[in-house]
Amino acid sequence: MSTNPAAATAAADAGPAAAAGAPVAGGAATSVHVRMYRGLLASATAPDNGYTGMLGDCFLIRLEGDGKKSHILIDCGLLLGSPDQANRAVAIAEHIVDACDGLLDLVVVTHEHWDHISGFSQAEKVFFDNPKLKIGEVWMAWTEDPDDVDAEALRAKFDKSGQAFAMIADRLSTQPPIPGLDPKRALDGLQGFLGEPGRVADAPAGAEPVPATAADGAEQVAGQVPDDAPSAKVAGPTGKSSGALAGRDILARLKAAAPTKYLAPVQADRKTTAGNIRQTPGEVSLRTTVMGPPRDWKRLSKDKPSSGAGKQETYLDTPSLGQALLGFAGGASALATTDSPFAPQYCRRPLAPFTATTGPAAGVQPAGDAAQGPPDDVQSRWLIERYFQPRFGEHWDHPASADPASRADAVAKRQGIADRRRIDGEWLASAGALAMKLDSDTNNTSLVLAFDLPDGTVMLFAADAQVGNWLSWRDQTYGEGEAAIDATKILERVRFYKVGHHGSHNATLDEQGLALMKHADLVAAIPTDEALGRKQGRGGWLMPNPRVNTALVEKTKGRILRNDRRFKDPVRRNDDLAGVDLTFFDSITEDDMFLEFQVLPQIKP
Amino acid sequence: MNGGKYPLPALRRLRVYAFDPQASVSLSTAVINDATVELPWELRWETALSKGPANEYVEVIDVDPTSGLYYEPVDLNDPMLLAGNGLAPSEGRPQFHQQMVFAVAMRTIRTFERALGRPVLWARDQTLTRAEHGEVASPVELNFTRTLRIYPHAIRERNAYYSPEKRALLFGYFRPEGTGARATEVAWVFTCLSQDIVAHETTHAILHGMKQRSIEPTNVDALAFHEGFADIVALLQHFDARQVVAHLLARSGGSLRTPTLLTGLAAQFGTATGKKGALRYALLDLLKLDADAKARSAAETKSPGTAAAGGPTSTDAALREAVAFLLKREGAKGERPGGEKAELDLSDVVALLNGTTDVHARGGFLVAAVFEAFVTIFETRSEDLFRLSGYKRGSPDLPPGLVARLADEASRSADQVLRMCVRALDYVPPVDIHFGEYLRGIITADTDLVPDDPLRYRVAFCEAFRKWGIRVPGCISMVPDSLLWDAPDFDAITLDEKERRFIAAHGHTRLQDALDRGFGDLLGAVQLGVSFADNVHMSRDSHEIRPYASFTEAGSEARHRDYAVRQDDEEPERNLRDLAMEIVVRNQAVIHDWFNYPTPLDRIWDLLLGLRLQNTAAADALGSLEYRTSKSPTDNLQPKFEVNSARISRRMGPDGSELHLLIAQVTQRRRSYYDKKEQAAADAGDYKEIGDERKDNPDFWFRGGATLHVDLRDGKLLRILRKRIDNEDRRAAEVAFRTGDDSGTVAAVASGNEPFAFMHLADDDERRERAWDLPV
Repeated sequence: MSTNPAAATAAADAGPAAAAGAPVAGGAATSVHVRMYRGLLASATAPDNGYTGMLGDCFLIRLEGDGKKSHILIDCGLLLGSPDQANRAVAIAEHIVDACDGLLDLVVVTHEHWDHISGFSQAEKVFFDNPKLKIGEVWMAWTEDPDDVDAEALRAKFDKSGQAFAMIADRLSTQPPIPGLDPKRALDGLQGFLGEPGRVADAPAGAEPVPATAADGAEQVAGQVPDDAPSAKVAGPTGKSSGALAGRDILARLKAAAPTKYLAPVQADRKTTAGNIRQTPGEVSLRTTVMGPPRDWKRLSKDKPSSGAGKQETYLDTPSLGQALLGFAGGASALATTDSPFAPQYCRRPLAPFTATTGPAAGVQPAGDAAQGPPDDVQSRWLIERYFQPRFGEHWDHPASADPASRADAVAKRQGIADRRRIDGEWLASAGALAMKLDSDTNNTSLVLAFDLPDGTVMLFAADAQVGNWLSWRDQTYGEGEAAIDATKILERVRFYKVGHHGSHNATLDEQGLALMKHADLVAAIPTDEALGRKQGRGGWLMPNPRVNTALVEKTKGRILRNDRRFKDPVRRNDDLAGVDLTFFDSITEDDMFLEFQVLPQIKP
Repeated sequence: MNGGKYPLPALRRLRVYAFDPQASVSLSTAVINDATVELPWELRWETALSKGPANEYVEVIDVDPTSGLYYEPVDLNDPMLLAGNGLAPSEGRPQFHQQMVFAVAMRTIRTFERALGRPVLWARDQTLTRAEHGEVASPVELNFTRTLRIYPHAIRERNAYYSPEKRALLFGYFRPEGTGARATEVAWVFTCLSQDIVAHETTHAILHGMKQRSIEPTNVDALAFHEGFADIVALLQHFDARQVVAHLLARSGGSLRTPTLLTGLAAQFGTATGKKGALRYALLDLLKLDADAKARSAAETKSPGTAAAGGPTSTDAALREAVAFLLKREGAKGERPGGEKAELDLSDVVALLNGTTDVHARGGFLVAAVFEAFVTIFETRSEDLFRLSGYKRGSPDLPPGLVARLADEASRSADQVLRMCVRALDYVPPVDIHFGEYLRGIITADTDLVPDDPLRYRVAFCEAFRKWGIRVPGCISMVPDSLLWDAPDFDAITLDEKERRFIAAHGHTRLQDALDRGFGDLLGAVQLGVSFADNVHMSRDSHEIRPYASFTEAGSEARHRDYAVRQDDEEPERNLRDLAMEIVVRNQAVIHDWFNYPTPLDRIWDLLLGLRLQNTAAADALGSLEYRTSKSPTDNLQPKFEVNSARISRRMGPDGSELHLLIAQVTQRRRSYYDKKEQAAADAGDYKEIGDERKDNPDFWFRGGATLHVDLRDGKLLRILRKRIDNEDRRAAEVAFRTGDDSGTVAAVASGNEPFAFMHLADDDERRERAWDLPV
């Protein structure tokens, strides 16, 4: 293996691949280009709509050999809330149709996250039912396999939570606000999980309404795929049209569009690794190793690199909370009578459900609103005074406060404090944390592929794989018999690395990841829009994470492809690019729509 | 309430669980689990206790939004409850929950007040500012959070927390999970019924009130300190209840180095969340790092019966075993190949600490260090008892008389250690705290109050911290003497010509004299004590303070006039905490104005404080500082800074000597960007590239700050504990820490000369970039 890996693997290859039932392999590729889409429209330069990159994966691999061509599309999505997202998705899709001459031999969908699949919804008319485009085959992870028992269990878990989260997100983004709850904080995790447009109240200004046609599409899809009932509920739990295909619907649409294979590094019995070597379909073909997602639940649920400590400290009590959340989602306060820990004589029902309104109207206005006023008993008064009403100190009637405007202002301010100290929606906020965890779990279901190139090097597409997925790569070997190799051997040969999860901190491992990538000509590709990332979440996302970036720069000697960066710009001011070998730039083709790197034939210094 | 007919009782007794409801299930612990908390009866100048319970400090509001319910507030003044020391412990009666959470929170508050020598005040609310309110209210009204809220049934989660934003404690309840026999014993677990959890969360609130700017995660220790400290308070309070201590000491043969109810935290919570015992143990906390059965069984073999000697060796063995185990596990992951070692090496503990980033686990090291010190002190104090009685520590048949004496010693030691720990809070910088600095705080605070240390408490602390891997950067050795915070070194300051002339012109030869005299002006304006006779009302409009005003006669008079204390006889009977708060607010304003006023010695003060309080020459101005929008008296744009706290502390030493300190915290903040070029531009005051939005919302705000100690007996500036605003090493470490997210790196503890060596002016060159070391 060490002397000539390419020859060895190529020789050992035909057997297992054929045994795994792959179609007859196409010819060898002599030219390999990887195109990273970024979809910058003309409006990108408009002052209030400026964006320079794309947070979301959309890769087109162009293969040529012996005068023939094949095309592989890996994901097509933009982060929820990306500026111009729908128009960009359509533009990208149309561009892809042209680029592949109407035939995508293979579409790979790595996992069900909006920033990887939104394009199939936003550009539905281009991808599906389009006479100009044919899709040869679809690859997905085993987690999307409708006949897989484990996958079914996983989906059930996600669906149940998803419904509750959808209801909660819906409530959080509508008026009136829940006192004492910062909707942003609570929605932070939920949005990522739901990832559907139209559902988000505070989408950035650049976000556009979803075209009306998409909604029709949603119904169509639902009709076509009868066994997709759960996700249909997710799409519109409150009866509101969510306006576009939900994640599950998109996958269903893809499954219906072409023969679909569900890949796993280890088969359902968890013993045989048969099938973790594949050939890509088409006239020109690449040998492909399936490295993730793992089947082990522990691996799937390991998102963060911390060392086992403190997991208990998050205290998130899924069943108990889930129960309450589902109760809330069901719209019932029946929960109280059936599930309160205390005997009924101790329980008092407040004047209105805590989360339903801003609380008793009388609590907001001390003067009292007769219509909604509470019964005038001691208990209610105590609660209103202590919990709902603002407090005024002993100096409140200070003569200086006589100015009515200033007084009203002060009252409002104090009411604000009183509201802020309430806890009505506190329990809903914890749904966000739960959702984020599930969201990370979804990242771990990423289909991770390593494409062997004829020159013995490897292109690694890690999707959004997080710690557990990475660690699982070494749980099995790849190939059969003598030819079987472990993950280290594969990583050592990586020449093109699609960086995990847009470069975030927990999607590129060091010791068991990047440190093993020793190829002298390593190139990394990060689909990101760093500026947009910084505006996400509460504290902003760092995509790429500076430390990951530093390590990547070191490993690649600065050869990092980022779709928020111009490489042909004569003034290369950026630090990272200052010392980079010039042949790197010669390997790049770029325009507003995409950034393309020529992997083969390799342009050598 | 009593109509004046009878004298006020001294104490209000309230029944509580000594630990948590689980201890009542087993017969052996049930006898001691029914305990009583004794609180001083509300004083005349405090708000009376009312339904809720609600009093001067806290208000319990029992709403349960998850269930859509609220529970009637308990009235502790009802004769039926007064006669029976409140409700009897009951899990099924929410009113008992209210009573217990109130009692435990209040006891924790009183503990702090005793140690600190001043009333506890909650974090002030930043929402109401004078600018927004004009004349509406007095300074106190503006931002005084009078009562901490306590919600006993706030959420249905395995959690409880102090919410800084709500100034409230939120306790959760949940159904225990799992199939263990223990888990099925109860239908619900209430965190508000655990003494430890309540004490822990209350401590968070108190700490936030004392150090408003310390709750930001600026380094790996910052939040871990809060967690560890809160655990320390909860643990040491176990030793309050003499009877309980005696009972448990009898069972452990007088050893505190075994896992018992005394040395564990939140047993029921731990059990209900799938652990075999307490959530966290004081000394065996390392075991918590891994839920692995092996680690747990290691804890269990340390029961008193099997441990040959209950003395220090058993803990050392457990520690060694745990560390060896954990290192081996790490080794399996490739970090430390070949792991197992026969002897526990100190560097292993250090390595383990460095690799621990989870705030609770990391705080566990602090807990272990403090508890270790406590146990050592207890053992020293009780050694003669064993010697005289002829019994061995750890033997199961100690006579009751000996046990009672041991319990006395344990309680006394715990009380002393707790006070040492609490007092040290005044002796740390206001921002960005590290464990090592806290140790220096403990040592210095104790030396201030107890110059002589016959029982070697301070040595015990140093030794324990060293043993648990906590390092003190910048100190040559871990002995009390080298850990003392330094006094300012005025000789190290080089004066420029202008400053020299200014000092000489006013008849001084030494810088220190001039500074002291200028400082005297400040002290003259500060209200030094809480007294009802001096009912202070400060009008901000009518005053203007001029530092060094006493260098001119007219100025001196003006100052006294401006801050004249006014008699105000229309005020009703005053509330002590109100008054304390008013004085704090007023003193803050005075100190702020004093520092804010431009003087010829500003450069010196900036050097001393490590801050930029005055707009310096354009050349070295920090453009990334936060500047005020309004102009200063000299029409310059002034850097913004806060006086976060200005408290007067009176403490009595064991020899009757009194320590009378003014403790002021000054902080300021500076825009900080992850990108070096952006940072350089911001420092130069150039925001063209950064843009207005990111000028207002930088990647993070980097804080600097200084804690000033002034001895009020002679008005001398004792020391300044500071974190320099312009320390680029520290900023780089914070950038690394923040961008590392939770990826398990330890933000490098700042290098040798960071940052409190009082007169450290030389700026080191940029240090090497920290290595990128994602774990796993």
